[in-house]
Amino acid sequence: MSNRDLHQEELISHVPALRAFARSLANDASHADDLVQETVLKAWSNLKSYTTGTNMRAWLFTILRNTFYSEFRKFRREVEDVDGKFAAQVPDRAAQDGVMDMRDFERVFAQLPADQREALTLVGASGLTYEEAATICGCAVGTVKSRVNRARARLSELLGTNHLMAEGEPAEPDI
Amino acid sequence: MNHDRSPKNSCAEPSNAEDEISRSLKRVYDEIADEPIPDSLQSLLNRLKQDRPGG
Repeated sequence: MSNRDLHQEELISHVPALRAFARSLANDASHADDLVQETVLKAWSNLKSYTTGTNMRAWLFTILRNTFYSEFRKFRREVEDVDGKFAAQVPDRAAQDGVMDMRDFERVFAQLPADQREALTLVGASGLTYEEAATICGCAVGTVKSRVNRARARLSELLGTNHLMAEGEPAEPDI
Repeated sequence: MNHDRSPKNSCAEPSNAEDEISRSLKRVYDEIADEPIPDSLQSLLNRLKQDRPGG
């Protein structure tokens, strides 16, 4: 099997992770899958520019992110909750019974700014390091840490888990 | 399928709220990653694999 074949197989293996990352950016399943499709097409046709031994997932995430923001700038898609429709659905106390409802969590998560959603997803869910996330986002490591901290604080506020923050161990400045 | 979701440098002693957020975030992420690939995307992948030289 040639290097190119191996790269193609690896690319395909990252599609589930790409879909999850795309959903965190797009907030809409159909739009997210359009983003993944476009990312796969771009990556497939540019596989020769991928360097063997480097992090393909980070490379693919970068392509997807660039596609998303490029499209956003071009069409000014509605990616934030400008009309407050998600805010209207926020539960008063999502974790009252100790089990956070996933749909509630998704609604609240969708209210975060896109840069905070992507930082939290990259570091908190996809298992990338802060350094890798910073490379993908094209910003400093400290900026990623700051976005993650702000995202967590905002989620806690919206989900009504501030009391847990207060009672728990003191949070590190950099999560 | 391994999506390598383990955090590599998260806080050593997260608060309860951070734990809860982390769990929820990973659960949502994993749910999406474990969904079947939509037909349109699967068709694209199949077409690309067939089009490759020797594929």
